[in-house]
Amino acid sequence: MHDLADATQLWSEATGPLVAATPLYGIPPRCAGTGEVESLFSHLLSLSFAQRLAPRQVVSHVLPEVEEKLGVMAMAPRHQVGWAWDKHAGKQMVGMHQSAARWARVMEAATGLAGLRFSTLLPLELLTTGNLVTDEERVCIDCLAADKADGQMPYGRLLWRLRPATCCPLHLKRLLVPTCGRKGRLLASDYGRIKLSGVCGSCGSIGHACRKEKSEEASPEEVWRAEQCLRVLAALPSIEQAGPAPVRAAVRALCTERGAVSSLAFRAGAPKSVLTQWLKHEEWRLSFDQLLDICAVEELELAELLQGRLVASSGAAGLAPSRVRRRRDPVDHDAVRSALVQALTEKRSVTDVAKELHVDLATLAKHRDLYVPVREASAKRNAEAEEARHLAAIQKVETMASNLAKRGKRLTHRNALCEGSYCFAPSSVESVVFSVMRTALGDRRAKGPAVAARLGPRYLQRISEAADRLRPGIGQVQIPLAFRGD
Amino acid sequence: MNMNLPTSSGDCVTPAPTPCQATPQRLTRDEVLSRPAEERLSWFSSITYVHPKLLQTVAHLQELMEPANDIKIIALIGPTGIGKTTLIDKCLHSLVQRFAPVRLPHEVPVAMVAAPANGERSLSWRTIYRRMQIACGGVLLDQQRKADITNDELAAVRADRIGLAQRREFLEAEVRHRRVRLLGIDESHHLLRFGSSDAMMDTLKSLADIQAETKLMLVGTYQIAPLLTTYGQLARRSAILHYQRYHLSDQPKDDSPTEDEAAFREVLKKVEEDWPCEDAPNLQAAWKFIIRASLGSVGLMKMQVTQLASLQMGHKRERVRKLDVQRAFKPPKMLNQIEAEMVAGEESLRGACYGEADLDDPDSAALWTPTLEKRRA
Repeated sequence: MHDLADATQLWSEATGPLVAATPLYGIPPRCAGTGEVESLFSHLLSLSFAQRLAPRQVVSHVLPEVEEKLGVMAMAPRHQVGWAWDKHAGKQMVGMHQSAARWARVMEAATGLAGLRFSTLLPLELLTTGNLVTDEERVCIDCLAADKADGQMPYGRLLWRLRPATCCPLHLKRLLVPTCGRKGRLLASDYGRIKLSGVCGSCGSIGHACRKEKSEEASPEEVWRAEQCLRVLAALPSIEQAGPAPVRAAVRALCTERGAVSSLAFRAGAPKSVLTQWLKHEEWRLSFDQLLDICAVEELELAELLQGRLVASSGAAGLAPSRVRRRRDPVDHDAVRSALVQALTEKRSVTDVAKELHVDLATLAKHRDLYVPVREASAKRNAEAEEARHLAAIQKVETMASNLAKRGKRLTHRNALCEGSYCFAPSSVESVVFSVMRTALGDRRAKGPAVAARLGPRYLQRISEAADRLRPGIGQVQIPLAFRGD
Repeated sequence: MNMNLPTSSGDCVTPAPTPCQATPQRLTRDEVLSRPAEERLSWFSSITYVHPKLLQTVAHLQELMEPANDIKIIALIGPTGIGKTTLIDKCLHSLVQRFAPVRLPHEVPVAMVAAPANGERSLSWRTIYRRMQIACGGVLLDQQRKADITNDELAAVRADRIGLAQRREFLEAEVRHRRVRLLGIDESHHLLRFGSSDAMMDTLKSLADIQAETKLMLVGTYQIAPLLTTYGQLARRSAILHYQRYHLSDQPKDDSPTEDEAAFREVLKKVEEDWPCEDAPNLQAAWKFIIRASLGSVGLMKMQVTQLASLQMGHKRERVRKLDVQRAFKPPKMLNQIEAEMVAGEESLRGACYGEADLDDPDSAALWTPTLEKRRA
């Protein structure tokens, strides 16, 4: 029973309306705190889906406002947070660099959640380096099927974006880049598509049931590496808290136990100088693959090593490093000379020769007496090909313009497209020629493309001559092109 | 205007609770009196007076808001101008916070909307749902789209405009994700313009059923009472909370006032102490007139005396004149109309409100009378 004194106290404590809620729901990333944590990119897509909004709307309208309120715009790059957000399947969003930190911060402010950085690789920022995130989304079909069986929508794991993980450590199958196998069954319009991790972007099939590819069995080495990645992701908070110093201390201890740094470098396929410098300098970082190789050959757990502990890994026996030390063979200069001579007769470029012999252009340039003629011959061939292309384009446009004139139609892009066989993209050479020719024929409304400014005087002269030929049929006053002054 | 208006979380903490007290306020009357008329009036009108009827309503509201009980619809009913909206604006969030002290940043414990009265001949649920969604923190409502799963394929449903069913679905998602514990409709007597009462009651019931922890609150005048008392299914899960006015006895006496009269006089005393002009009218002496002129409603009284203060400030020496009183208080014809509606409303609510269970049955006494064994123990 609530008495009047209690009501009086409540009234005196009353604060009126509460502060506004965050614009996005505070749904945490799936499986947060485990190795199967949802990636930030997938989380953004899932949140947008829960809000019944397209992710583009959230990124374009909600997040920029949140970022503005955060007051960090001055420190942020010039563009707003939504710029190129889904390029390479949100690669910048899940990586370990500044843009990922920015995304995590904005998403945290927009949802009121904490710890979204553990849905990215940001905790590894001070420990490792390298291109860790894949350019595309990969999936384990069995994991997606398991999500579906649990009655939930599938989601994209951060593990699947980690380049060193090539298979699913749970189902022991290689990850797939799913492509829709249902040709001709695309959704009626772009409107119908829902961008969601684990759902086909073309036909909307949940769990990519539409795919053609079959997932292959993974090798034990792949499984071990994927397991290591899984454990690293599960331990991200502890790894971040530990910082980079304990890893060095642990590797130093390892070197003391099992031989010197050079011995470890030899076993792990790492350059000795890199390993030595890394041990000396606090700001140096080793690549994730290199650390993984050290763990493979020393039979250690990577997640533990990153926290400064040396713990034996059970499945690593007999694994070799994945990175092979680069070998430098001496250059066979006789072979280079004969290849350059051959290139002159076979009309090949210096680039082709360099590719074939696995040498760089500087090595070829040492044989100047042959290198220069080969380059000049290539340049001449390219110029001829370019000229032929231009002449063909002018000829094509002239024929088309003549046809239009005969039919009494104006020279416009729309009419040109109606000609059928003369379809051209706005960026094509024919389109540029067409625009310049319209100007030459006296059409003052024609807007010359920016590319036209780069056309040489010979080219413009030819277009002008073609316009001369066309003018009687079209009957407009010709405008002289500015090629004589060049 | 940059002034420190009285707020509930002011520096000046009020003393121990008394039956009648002003809300905590940052400025005292002496400080305010030196300020311009506009600021003084604003300060005065923002003061909320706490009185027994208000506290009783808050206490009952607190009981009904307990998440454990099965009451899903709470109707806060009272005469026009008594201060229902002020009450819910002020303390509803605090009430909800008592039962759910931890609030996550995305959560919206209370979502109050006003039922629209925009000239449409019939009520549009779409408008109410939309307002509710905004109150629940919804963003980009016009950009929302429905998704359907057919044969394990997910696709957005193309529609030229968001239909009623879709809007409802979006609202339900919003209520669930934002963990709304109280969904309120102020001015809910406007709902009566809805064509079919049955359909409306079904909709209200389903709104309250969106999730277990959500309650629906209807705030309005006596007109909404029949909605809850007519339908048995709703009556089972709803409670009517009557925010009552003070009654003047047939022969009021200065020296022996009734409980209602004493409480009203306490409020008048406080108003007089807070009067925003140097020359305060003798409100306590005219208590019988004021209680009659405001029909016992503290809200209506506050509105009229604020008007009186405003008129008083318009004069050079800020003296209260007879003409001001004549203008500030409601004329008899209007008062009679309001009173007639109040009396009819109170009559219709008799025996239907929270705390009015029938205890005439002698067997009911066993519930609160201790048994002999207990007495011995």
